[in-house]
Amino acid sequence: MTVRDQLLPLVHLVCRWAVGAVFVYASLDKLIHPDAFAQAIANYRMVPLPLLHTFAWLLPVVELVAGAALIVGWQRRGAALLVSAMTVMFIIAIAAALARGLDISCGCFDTAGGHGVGVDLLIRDFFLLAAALVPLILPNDRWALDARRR
Amino acid sequence: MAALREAWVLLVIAVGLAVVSWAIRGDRLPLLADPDIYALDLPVPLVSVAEARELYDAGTHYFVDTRADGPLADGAIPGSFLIRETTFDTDIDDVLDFLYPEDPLILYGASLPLPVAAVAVRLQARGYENLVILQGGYEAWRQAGGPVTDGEAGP
Repeated sequence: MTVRDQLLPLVHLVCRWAVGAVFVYASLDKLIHPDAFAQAIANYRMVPLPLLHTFAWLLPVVELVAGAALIVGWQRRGAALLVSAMTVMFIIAIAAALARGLDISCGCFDTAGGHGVGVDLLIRDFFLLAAALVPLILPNDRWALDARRR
Repeated sequence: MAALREAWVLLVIAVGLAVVSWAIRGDRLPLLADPDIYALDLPVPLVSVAEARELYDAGTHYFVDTRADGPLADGAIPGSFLIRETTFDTDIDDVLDFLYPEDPLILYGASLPLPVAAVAVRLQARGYENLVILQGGYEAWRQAGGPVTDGEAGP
């Protein structure tokens, strides 16, 4: 067994747990304060206003389910696909806000104010996307629940 | 393809959980949002009822009733000043001795912020800069159990 064969599962595990933990944590405040999260989404001016509540209600649950699935390694590729898609969506939203010069809070982890949108958030999300793609692309993860099931 | 299938499984689970949590939560939001509540082109920021209640209890802000009927229909927030769009010039003259441009004001209407915004713009033109609009207006305040009065609004 080469060093590469030994390291890849470890990288896989770290990325899966890290991204999963980020998404589970990000969902909590949004689930507790859906009204504030709806306002945070509205500030981006991308979602049609009548759909704000539905979006604010559904997105944190998807974050929670996908994040938890990543952590335990159940349906991990599907979970990785979901978190990757959500991260791409966040990147587009932040980039669009920056391009339009909107001075708004991110709404990523804290619905009551929190970090303002900026290039640093874009960079962070690109790193998050890279980590989220690892469980999607790499085939082996001996510690995943999926691997034990098969 | 396997990833796509798994993603659909997780999405179905998430939607199911979202529906269940929406059904059992007491403070659930309506599924369809009222666009006016989230209108973003307001000239001044919105303040939530909870925040406004704290400011009311602290006594740091003055409340301004902008409803066309004022307190006549169904009461008002105690201590509110009456400044309406339709009678702005006379109303502002009545309160000039009590409200100074540097005073922090919380403006409220019946429920929607847009009609209040017209009063906010005219107040800004008169030098009042420390303005916020009560999100959800008087209706939200009353439903949240905020103190109300049946008397005429005034200092």
